[in-house]
Amino acid sequence: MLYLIYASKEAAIERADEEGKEIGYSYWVNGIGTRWLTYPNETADHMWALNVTDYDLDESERASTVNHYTPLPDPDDD
Amino acid sequence: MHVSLDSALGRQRRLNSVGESVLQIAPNAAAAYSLRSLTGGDPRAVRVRRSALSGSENEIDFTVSEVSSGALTSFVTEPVSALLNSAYYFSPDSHSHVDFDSDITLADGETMSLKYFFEGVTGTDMLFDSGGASANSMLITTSIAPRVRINSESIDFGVGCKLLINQLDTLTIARSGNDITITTGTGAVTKSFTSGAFTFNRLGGNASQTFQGVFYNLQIGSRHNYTGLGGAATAWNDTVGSNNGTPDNLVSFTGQTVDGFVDTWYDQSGNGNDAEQATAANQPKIVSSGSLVPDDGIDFDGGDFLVASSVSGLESPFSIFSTSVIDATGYIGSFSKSTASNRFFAVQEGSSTSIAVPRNSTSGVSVSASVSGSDRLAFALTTGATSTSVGAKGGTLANTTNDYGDDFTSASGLDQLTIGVHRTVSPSGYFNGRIRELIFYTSDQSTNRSAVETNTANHYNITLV
Repeated sequence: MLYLIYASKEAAIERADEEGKEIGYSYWVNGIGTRWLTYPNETADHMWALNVTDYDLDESERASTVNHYTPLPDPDDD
Repeated sequence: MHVSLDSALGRQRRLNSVGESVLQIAPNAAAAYSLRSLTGGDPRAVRVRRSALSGSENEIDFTVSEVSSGALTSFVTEPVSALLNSAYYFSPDSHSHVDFDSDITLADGETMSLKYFFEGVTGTDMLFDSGGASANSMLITTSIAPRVRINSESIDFGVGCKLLINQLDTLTIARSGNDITITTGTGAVTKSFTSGAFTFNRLGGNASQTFQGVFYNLQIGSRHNYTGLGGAATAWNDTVGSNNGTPDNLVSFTGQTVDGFVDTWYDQSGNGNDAEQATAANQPKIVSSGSLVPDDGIDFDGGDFLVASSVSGLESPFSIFSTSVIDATGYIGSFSKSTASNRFFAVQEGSSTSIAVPRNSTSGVSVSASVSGSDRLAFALTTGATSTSVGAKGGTLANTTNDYGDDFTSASGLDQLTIGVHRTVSPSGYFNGRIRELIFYTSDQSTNRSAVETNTANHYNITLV
């Protein structure tokens, strides 16, 4: 797996949106349905990891990918 | 008003009436999900995204009758319908390829073309070959971009002419002197070589660099033509010249890699609590390789899930009827809270048990009922923090009085229903298998249990204990 790490959830979703538009998912064509290929997950250090294994990456992004991340531990409370 | 004998005597209903639907037997569900009608009518069942693309309508709704009639499957396979059982599928597992009798070298001023359909590369894959990848070949890189080698000179053409995935498209290669131009649905890119004599004698690569997909209508200028269609061993014979192709390990294209995924599983209860998944990678599958998945259910792969969000009125008692076929243990579904990991009431299927798992702020509790076989029919119930039960395939309820915290009241903040996982905060224990049916109640359905389970068991041919 390849991941891009973002400082904010919003930035990660923005990249996920970009890929979803590029693919032409229904949400971007018809306003309903599938929107993203993948969705970001929070990391242990409160960054956001986006699985970009199947994304169309540019060279800069490709150079920034990592193979793994540490997920946020179970908060176990509310 | 008709009052049944069971009802008059205050007993649990033993049987459902002939023709009675599940939601007629046990009305007022909070949500009800199935591919069959739970209402007696023909409600919407699912919204499905197809992997093979054609035009802008690649995701639409289907009623329960359209699922069973084949309309759903036809929608999923429609973009490649002309190729089904006619074209050949090149499988990476069996190193499928076509060897031509002699080398084909693209002449100056000549253009060759190939129609293709594939879902993506498996690495750096080989499309054309002569003498090995390092000599004369066309590779497709992990960026899905062509890389051409002529007499060991290797040039990447880049993503400006990358191949399209999950769409029918045509690849053309044109030679003008020492220039090679590659055109796909993405665009055209020209590169200059020391020699433009692009040569190959194999379509489909070698044992270490295979290619996965469907290829047909290969034309080399006006001197060679191969339909690759018709399903016969002669499909790769040259219909213009005499340089025939010999297929090796090709298999009939029956829709391999053509799948349908569930974006929405519609709620049949009338409450509009539709369970959705907007992320393609987490959508469960309903059509696999051109056919409905088995078991009359929706296939969850151990990472898929659906969520009905912003559900109101989720206060106990809670009842869940779940019907599934397990490949591995996992949670079928739950009442849960979108902002907390420690508030939920879930039903889980273990290797030999059906399990009710409530948790409300303190440590979780579980109670399990023994069950055999991979097909499951579970009933989970909690009426308060010290009263939880579960039964499997109509068997005796297993009960626990262990305290899971507080009763589920409005203060608990439960606000969603999940399918395929027990919570969305720090999710784990994703279900792996087919989920056939899941019905949630904010009421004690003990009195309807037998009738509901009899109806369900009859429909799915499940043997009750």
